[in-house]
Amino acid sequence: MNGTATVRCCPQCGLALDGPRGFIQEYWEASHRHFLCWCPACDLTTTVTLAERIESHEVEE
Amino acid sequence: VLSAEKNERLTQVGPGTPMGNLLRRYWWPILPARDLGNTPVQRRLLGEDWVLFRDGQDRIGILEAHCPHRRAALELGFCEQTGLRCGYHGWMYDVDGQCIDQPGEPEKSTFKHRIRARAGKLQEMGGLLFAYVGPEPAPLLPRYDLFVWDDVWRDIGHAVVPCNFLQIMENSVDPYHVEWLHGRYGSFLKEQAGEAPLEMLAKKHVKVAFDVFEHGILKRRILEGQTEEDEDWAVGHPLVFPHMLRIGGGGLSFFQIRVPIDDTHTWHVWYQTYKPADRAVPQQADADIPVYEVPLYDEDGEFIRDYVDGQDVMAWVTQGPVADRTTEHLGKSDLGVIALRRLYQEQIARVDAGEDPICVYRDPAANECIDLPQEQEKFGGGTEFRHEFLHGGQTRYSPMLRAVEELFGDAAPAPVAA
Repeated sequence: MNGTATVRCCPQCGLALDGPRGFIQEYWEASHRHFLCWCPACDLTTTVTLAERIESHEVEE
Repeated sequence: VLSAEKNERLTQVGPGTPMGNLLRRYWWPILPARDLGNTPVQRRLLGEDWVLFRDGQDRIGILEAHCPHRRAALELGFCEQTGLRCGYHGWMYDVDGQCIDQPGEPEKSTFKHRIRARAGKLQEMGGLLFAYVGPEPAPLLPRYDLFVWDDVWRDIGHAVVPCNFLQIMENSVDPYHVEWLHGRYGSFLKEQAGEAPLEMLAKKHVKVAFDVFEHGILKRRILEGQTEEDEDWAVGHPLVFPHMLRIGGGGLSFFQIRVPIDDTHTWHVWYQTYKPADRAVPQQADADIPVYEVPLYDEDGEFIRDYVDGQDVMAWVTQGPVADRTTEHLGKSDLGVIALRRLYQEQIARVDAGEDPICVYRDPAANECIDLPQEQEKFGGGTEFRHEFLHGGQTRYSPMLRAVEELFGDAAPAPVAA
């Protein structure tokens, strides 16, 4: 599912970000897909991460 | 991955495009000042052709490239006391574009009063001519420190790079490329040539950060063996929005200026200043600033890759005339690139909303000298950086390289082993 999912709207105000004025940039970290988003309406800059699984405790780095 | 629409939005610079509208809010270097005498010069900027001229009263102007009369090239005209005269029928224009003479028209005709060539604004600073071709009222020409310091030596290198400006700017917020393209790959080439590998530029990045601030994006890095106390992190250096990188160390400070000629060509200007911390610098007049071309290709048409800037040019140009960002794969090490794209998009929106974008100056008090942050102890050692960069960067083509080394009290480099 996450392989084709994407982010289309601002997580804060709901504005569509996939039009010409919004900004969504996908990047990867290992198998995680991140979307850095900027909303021209509410000025929110945020990163949405699509989680493959819900993880509890993680190994200490 | 970036959508094709967003890629076009961020890379097209012509009139009426979103990025073109943003970039037209800024002043652009367009020609070394010494290259404008009493002969007009044609230049292309942001996808439009312009002609620059200096009249007999030393006033400088920039007009649309073609005469409003019958569209002949004004570049082929000639300069007179009060303006630029078209070579075809002799119509003459002043620096504001007003037609002031139409020799073939009836003597008492007022026709000339109704003819105006489209004109931008042209100013001279620090050995360069800067053009503004955007909407009125024009902002002030920003007096960034390197352009206006009066106690430095300068030289100016330049080249036309056959690719879009954005992929060049993105390189300036991509710290990791330094240790690979210049450090590892550069050392590989040097070893092939029987030369010593590079040391400073090969240091491993441990941590990088990008702060959006009043001048653009401030880059910070911690290299292996460094801490947050080191200047590379504590001070950093900026990408100056929308078109410059400020970099240097050890008394060498320079701008890399990326001027969009059109969507697929960029005039790249390397603007150096030299300022030893421990001695006075003999006066250098603007008219004496050396200007030199930086070659991109060798006699076989191959990229010249045995120095830092040549390696950069190779990376920029081989991405294509306009990099296809719909097929890229960005990782966490590309967050600086993403931050820059976001900043362009944000500032495009500000212009759309009728506001000034960042780095537009209208208050003379704030524009006397715009001081920019820049580490001096670059990569942990400013003097070593200067040594490595003067010969490992495009300054190796500067006609005053040896004089600069003498200015700093540097010994001449040892001959390179064959």
